[in-house]
Amino acid sequence: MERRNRILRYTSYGIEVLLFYILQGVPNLIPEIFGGRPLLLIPLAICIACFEEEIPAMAFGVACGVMMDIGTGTHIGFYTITMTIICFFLGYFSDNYFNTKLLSVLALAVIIIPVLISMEFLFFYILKGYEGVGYYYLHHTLATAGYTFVTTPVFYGINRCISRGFTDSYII
Amino acid sequence: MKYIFTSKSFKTLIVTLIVLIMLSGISAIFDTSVISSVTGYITVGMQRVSAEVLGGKEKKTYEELQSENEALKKEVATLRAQLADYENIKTENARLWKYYGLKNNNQEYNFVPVSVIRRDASDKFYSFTVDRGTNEDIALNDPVVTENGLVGYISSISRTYAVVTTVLSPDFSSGVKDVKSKDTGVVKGDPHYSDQGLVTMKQIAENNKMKKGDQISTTGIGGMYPENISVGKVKELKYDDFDTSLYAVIEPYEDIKNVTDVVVITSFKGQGEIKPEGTTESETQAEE
Repeated sequence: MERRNRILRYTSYGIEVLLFYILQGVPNLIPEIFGGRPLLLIPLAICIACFEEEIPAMAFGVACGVMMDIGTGTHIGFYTITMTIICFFLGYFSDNYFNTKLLSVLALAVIIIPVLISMEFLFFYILKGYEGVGYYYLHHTLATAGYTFVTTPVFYGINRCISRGFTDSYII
Repeated sequence: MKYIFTSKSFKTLIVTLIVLIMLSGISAIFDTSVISSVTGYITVGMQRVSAEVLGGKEKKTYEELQSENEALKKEVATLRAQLADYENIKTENARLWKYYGLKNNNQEYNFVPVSVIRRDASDKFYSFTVDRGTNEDIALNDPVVTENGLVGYISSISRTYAVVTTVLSPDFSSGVKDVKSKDTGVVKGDPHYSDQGLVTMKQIAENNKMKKGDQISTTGIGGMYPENISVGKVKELKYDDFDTSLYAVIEPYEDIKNVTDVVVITSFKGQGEIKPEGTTESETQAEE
């Protein structure tokens, strides 16, 4: 029973990752707000990691990271590596040190999302030597980070349902 | 806390990271990625469908939708009598017809019409993914245009899809001229203007005769873009805040941030030929 639930849970996560990867890139589907559009796979990976142990959390971190990297036509790299590490530690800490509640997930997301997006900006815009990127950061990147954070409760809700639905301890 | 660093799962993380870094290095060195190609095969079809169904159309008001709905109802009544695949053929024909003029005026062009299937929030400067790749003879650095003008170039490619870097990106650079005054310069994307859908033309002579509204088109110098492809019109002339150099803000004729159908020019006369500065393709032909 436990094995069956685990397979169903991981399959659901897999479908979720693929679905939101596609939705994230559909032209003109998600409206721009202040020049930014959300990166759905970041809060998705955070939420999955908070509901799982470190190894499956890391595996879905790898999946989301790879999707993020190839979604922009680049080679696997920045997001793959960073999200692998982040999801591993999220999985470990959520399993051992805190209960996965909406507030705790939001507290983590409000730190992780801006830091991750700003790091990408640092590596791919500032260090690449583009001129005048400060304006682009204020008018595009920060909006993207804010918009991405706002979507976190949605993913928390979806993954809470999946986690509860396919975990033995919740079945009466 | 300290137990995590000696745990079996932490060792798994380290091994995973080493494998990922190696994969990343291999794909960067050989400029290829098996994972992206495989994912491309899996997702391109789905993205093509979702782009058409969900996001391909522009947002419209209720009144516009109502009038469109009325028009469509009439159209449906007419189309019922037609063959089942009529709509597809008609759409494809309309799409290709837009480029008939382009082909007619430039017989030496070979091009492939493609559709935009992906626009990611993390795309740099509004780059996007199209639904054709090397299987259709598209190659790196091929110019991408529409019937309205230049859109960008192919910056990354797989068998089934390609990524287009647009004119809004600072990575884009092309020799251009003012069609009226013949002043030349280099058009580049600028982070300050990209979110407004504008580009800049730099390296303009101080004694230029450019005016607001002048048409800007490519010179063909450099061999990357064909000559006389429209880029946009002059919106304003300004001086740089830091080095006081003169530049023009150009408004592209094409809505780069929302374009859904484009054409990749796979070959054209003068492709890859670097001409001396100040010489355009037509001048070269005249000399011959």
